Amino acid sequence: MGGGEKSTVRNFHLNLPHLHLHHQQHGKKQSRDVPKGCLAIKVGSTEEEQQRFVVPVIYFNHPLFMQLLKEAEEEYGFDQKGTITIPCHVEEFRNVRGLIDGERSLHHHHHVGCFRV
Amino acid sequence: MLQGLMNLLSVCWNPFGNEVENHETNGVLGGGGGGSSGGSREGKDGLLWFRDIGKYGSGEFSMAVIQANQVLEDQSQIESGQFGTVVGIYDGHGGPEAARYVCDHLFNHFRAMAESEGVVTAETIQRAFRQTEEGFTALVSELWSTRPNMATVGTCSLVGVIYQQTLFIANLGDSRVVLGKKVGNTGGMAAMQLSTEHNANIEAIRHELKELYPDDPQIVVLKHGVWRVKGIIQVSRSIGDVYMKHARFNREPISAKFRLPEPMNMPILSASPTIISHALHPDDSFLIFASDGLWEHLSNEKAVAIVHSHPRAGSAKRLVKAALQEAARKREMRYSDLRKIDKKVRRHFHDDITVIVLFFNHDLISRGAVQDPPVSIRSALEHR
Repeated sequence: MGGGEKSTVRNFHLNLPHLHLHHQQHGKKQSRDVPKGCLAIKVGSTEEEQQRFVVPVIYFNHPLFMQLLKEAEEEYGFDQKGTITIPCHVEEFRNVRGLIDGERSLHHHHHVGCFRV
Repeated sequence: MLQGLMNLLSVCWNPFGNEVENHETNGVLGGGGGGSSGGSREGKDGLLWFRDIGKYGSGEFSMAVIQANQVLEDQSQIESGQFGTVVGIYDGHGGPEAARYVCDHLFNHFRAMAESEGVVTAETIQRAFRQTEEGFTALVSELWSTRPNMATVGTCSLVGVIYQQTLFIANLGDSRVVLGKKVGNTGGMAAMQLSTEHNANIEAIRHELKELYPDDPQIVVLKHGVWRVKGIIQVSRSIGDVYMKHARFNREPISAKFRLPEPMNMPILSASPTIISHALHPDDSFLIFASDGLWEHLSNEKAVAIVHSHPRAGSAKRLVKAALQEAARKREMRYSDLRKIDKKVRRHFHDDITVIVLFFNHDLISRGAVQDPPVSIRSALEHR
């Protein structure tokens, strides 16, 4: 949509939540602040406790991450309310994240700083 | 004078006077005569297409569509001429074919019948729906050996017809139309839902289904907090979805997830629309037609308030934006970041959304007048 914030990859910098000078209560749903360019997800298969992660939005376009999303789709359809939940093992998610970050550090100067909560 | 003669000629040539400007083969057919209909600011912004404002027979309209699926499954149209106005929103599922088919055929069935009878009634609309359903079912039969998946494609259908001083609303499925109605003298605006929805998540619908199938404990199933007919599909009425209507289509080679344990002896889903008629009143300000992708995130009251408190131009786009902001908020992210997400994956955040806002010009309506030029607009098949 036209207007609004212009948020691009170039604006990424290492974000430490406790150093935020302005507290934007966008969501009011969670008191934790999700940085610009990121979103929160929950990860966990049925045998383990779900963990919350904050990942860059652009992960969602990555083929490896899309595979994980396919699992969410098969389990829940598109009917999830609230934070997206991915029903895979936390370790599997960590592997995928590591692979994606590894690829990205080859191509980008900036570190993608979505501090994990 | 010359214009009058031209209008007369176009009416004689085609009583339903549709002039269609074909901009691109794969794009939106934009009617309304481009420059002459004034303010026709059409635009595209990534997955969003919009027409901020335009004129139709009884006032002005605003339209917007955003795509979330890999292939856009929402289809929509506005047809307006001396006969009146028809608006359609077709929210497809399982594929785009049924929504496209309805967009291609429903209005033509309606027009043919209205022409031959010289009048529009609820029956006219009922029959147009039936002919469309029969046509699509026949098509699925023809394609059964080469494209059996067509048996699992369907679409909701929401149609509004303005005929003289009567508004008809016909609905199949869970799209919705809300009327913005002036209340009192204080400039307040109330939201009045005119359509009846057919979704298993509505208790009255579950009740209706259980009455029709009292011996089937699985007629509606709750899965992950969502009710589905036979545990498969949320809507209880549609065009298409023939796998849920005729036993001959509920067998291999359609995917196992659509196959029922026992053959049906009567259709489980229905194609009979709920139709209401409403006498137009000067306090009726505007109609908001939208697929359920909008209503998932915006209440009727919120949508009416947004349209009421802003200029008319851009109303439809504004509603889509408000829905997306709400969708982003629920997912703990910023609305501006939602844009970065590609279609298909976008489906995890919101559905295809189509919005058509019709504003009423009661000066025209009370005089029984319909303004030119005729309009024939159809949403694009793709947005990227």
